[in-house]
Amino acid sequence: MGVNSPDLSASNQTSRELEAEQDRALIESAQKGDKLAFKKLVQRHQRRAFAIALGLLRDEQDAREVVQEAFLRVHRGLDSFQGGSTFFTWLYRIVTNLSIDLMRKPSRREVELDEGREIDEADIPLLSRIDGADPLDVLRRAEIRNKLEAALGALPVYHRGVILMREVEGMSYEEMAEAMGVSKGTIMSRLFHARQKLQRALADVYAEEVVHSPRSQKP
Amino acid sequence: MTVSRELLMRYHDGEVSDEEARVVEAALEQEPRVLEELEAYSELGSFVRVWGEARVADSFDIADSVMQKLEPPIARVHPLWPRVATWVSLGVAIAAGSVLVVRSWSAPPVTPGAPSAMRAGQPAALALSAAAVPEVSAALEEEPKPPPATIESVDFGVNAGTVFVVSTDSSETPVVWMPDDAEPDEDDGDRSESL
Repeated sequence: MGVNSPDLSASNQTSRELEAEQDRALIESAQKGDKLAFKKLVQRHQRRAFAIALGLLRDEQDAREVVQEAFLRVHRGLDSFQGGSTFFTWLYRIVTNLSIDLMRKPSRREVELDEGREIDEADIPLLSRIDGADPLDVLRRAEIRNKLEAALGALPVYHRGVILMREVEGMSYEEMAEAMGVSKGTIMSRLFHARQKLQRALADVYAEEVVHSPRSQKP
Repeated sequence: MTVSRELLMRYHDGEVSDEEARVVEAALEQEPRVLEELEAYSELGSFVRVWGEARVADSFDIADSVMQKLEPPIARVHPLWPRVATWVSLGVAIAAGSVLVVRSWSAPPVTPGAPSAMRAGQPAALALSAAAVPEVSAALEEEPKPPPATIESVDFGVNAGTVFVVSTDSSETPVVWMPDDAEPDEDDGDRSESL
């Protein structure tokens, strides 16, 4: 069963702790002026930060600029980083705040309204990632992707943020609470509602999954 | 369902206590509906994960551009320092002017025909210029003396400033000029000083 069982969670936690330890060493070096150490921090976290920014903003150029600005702010604030939180929750908080600030700009709101468009194949190379020689399967995957894209786009930004942090980054409730500056209860509530909305949006996809699932094909 | 959706979600996310996990697992064995809901969470997670990961190209790398934009380390300046420096340099300028005035007063007395340096209402710059330049005939009769004072340098601190001489027919007036280009202060007046 592909759930986040306690064993997987513990493993994830251990991996996070190891990562945090390595980050701390790099931060200490960067605080002393070691630029290479800072570059390593950027390299370690840039893709995940970009994934969050892209999920929130849904514009590659904007996401790239936000992530770049976030790292510059991190560098300016290195001296004030005491290690009370993990580096990536600090970084994600900056990325989230910058993304939300950008989305609040009037020019961005106009872009936000333009959500009805279909997604080009080139936008998301999902088809190449999900193998399916069957054309019907390919079409179905494209349909899922478009529905998911539309459903995520319809979510309030904070709901979109938690679902991405949870499912793409595997962050714990506590880490998300720290990154978004809210309580764990708020995170749970946002996550619950985000999932409910996405599941409703993908309801027919689920119905088809049941039809196509191996269990439903049993005699 | 005997377990709430909220508890089931937390179980899916690995955010439950041992006791809560036991409750959910018991329900999973007895109620197919609970299992279906749990699988729905997993499936949704898979969709979102694949969608999210596929959007970020493996080649994404902004490390070099971030490093290029890093500002060079700047020596940290105490926030009070610029203001202190302004007043210190102003003080130095006034002190230099005072030396000039004192040295001028110690010069030989002015002849009766010369304009009075102490005339009421006379600007300080004019007073100085009158006192500092003795009459030529008197000066020739006396042993040559060094000029009343020489300003070789003025430390303006972080501010820019100039020292120059305003010449008229009968006198020369040294002026220490400090343009007031700092942040406006409540008590900022004209910081130029004429000596």
